[in-house]
Amino acid sequence: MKAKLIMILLSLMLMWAPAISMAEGDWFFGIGNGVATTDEEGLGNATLIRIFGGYAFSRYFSADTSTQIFDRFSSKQHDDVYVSGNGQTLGVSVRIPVQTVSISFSAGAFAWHMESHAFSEKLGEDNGVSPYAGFGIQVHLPLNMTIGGHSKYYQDVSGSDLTGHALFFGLRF
Amino acid sequence: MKRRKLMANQARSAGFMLLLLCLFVMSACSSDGNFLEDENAVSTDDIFADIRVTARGDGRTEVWARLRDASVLDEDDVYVYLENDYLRASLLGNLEDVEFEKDLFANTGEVASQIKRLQGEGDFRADEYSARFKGDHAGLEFTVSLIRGGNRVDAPDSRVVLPAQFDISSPLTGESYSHASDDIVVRWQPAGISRDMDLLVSGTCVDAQSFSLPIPLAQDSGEYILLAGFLDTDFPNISRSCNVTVQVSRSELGVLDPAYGFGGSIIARQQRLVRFTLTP
Repeated sequence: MKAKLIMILLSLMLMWAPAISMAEGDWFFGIGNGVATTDEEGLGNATLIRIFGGYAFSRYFSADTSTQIFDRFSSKQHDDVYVSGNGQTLGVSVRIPVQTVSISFSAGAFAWHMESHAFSEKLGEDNGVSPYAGFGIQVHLPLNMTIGGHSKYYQDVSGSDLTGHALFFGLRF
Repeated sequence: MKRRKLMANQARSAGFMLLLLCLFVMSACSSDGNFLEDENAVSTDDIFADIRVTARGDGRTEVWARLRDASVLDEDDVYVYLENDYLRASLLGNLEDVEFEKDLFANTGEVASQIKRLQGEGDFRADEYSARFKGDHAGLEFTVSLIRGGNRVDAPDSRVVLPAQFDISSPLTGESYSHASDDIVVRWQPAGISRDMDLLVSGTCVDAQSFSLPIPLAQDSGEYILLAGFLDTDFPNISRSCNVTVQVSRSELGVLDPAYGFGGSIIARQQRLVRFTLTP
């Protein structure tokens, strides 16, 4: 019942959505900066840098890829011990446009490489591919510019679930 | 009498001159007035390392280190000030031998408490560095590493193992003993474990006089008796109304990294204190 109601609401929103900025055949790219958290209690937050690009097949669907850089999930006890790493996402997004604003939901795969360090010594490294899901809100500006925010949840990255939140600036062409 | 007064004045003047020198050349002195040498000017080959790992029975262990430039032939000791170089202590052995293959976040969060940088003591430039770890059980192995920048040689692998814990059962804290008539039995358990035991008896007396009496023990017998009048030989003139501290230490000598050209020592100690009152 609840799912049905959500579907009806989404359909209504899509039907009544007025002018949207992201059009069929748009390429887009951008860069974002924010914070990433881990569910490991002993480690603090990392700085997140996200560079992304993609192609919008329609007003509602796009495919995108992004590079994520996680700069130091440092130990809460002292910052000489930390995990850092990077990864590449590949996924699809569903967009709900409402005038110049759109809300997006995304999912895909995240290929990652993580390293653990203590002082200048590397304690270990790990690689893998994990699923991710996310959502975002974008505001489309004149001159094909977009600003907004993304949140993504990455499941089981070297034994820990990560969450990344970033504000971004993008361009469409 | 006049001569003694003159010597005291000379000593005071020398201390004042040292203080003045430290004030004028701030970078050459530590917060406690010792002469310091910049790390860039000292090769590892010239260093004498003094590293002490001490557990005092409170569930924690302190790692303390001081590096001396032993190539300086001077009356005053010159210690090494670390700015970019650093000392670190680890319960994981040499970090080069540590390797995680998965669960990096959980493993890294867990080991953070087992690796620490030794921090300078005091607000000013330090010549003493220390860090505290949780845990003080027998067999805990500490690895202390000097990590240096540039072309300077590291000394990564000085190791020592904490000796067995013990408790002092006599005398009891707060008790009062007569210096003239009481034999004071210092007793600890378990005994018979270590070859390196020593006592340090020190006190602050009512008239502000103080004493410090180190007593190396030939064996870990579990007992040592401070005979009545034990201070008479070494400190015949002090007041007998004193607050006395007896410190019992069980030590284990470790293996110092051979890169320290002038050697030194790394020693782990289990140390326990008891305080009592000594009356005339």
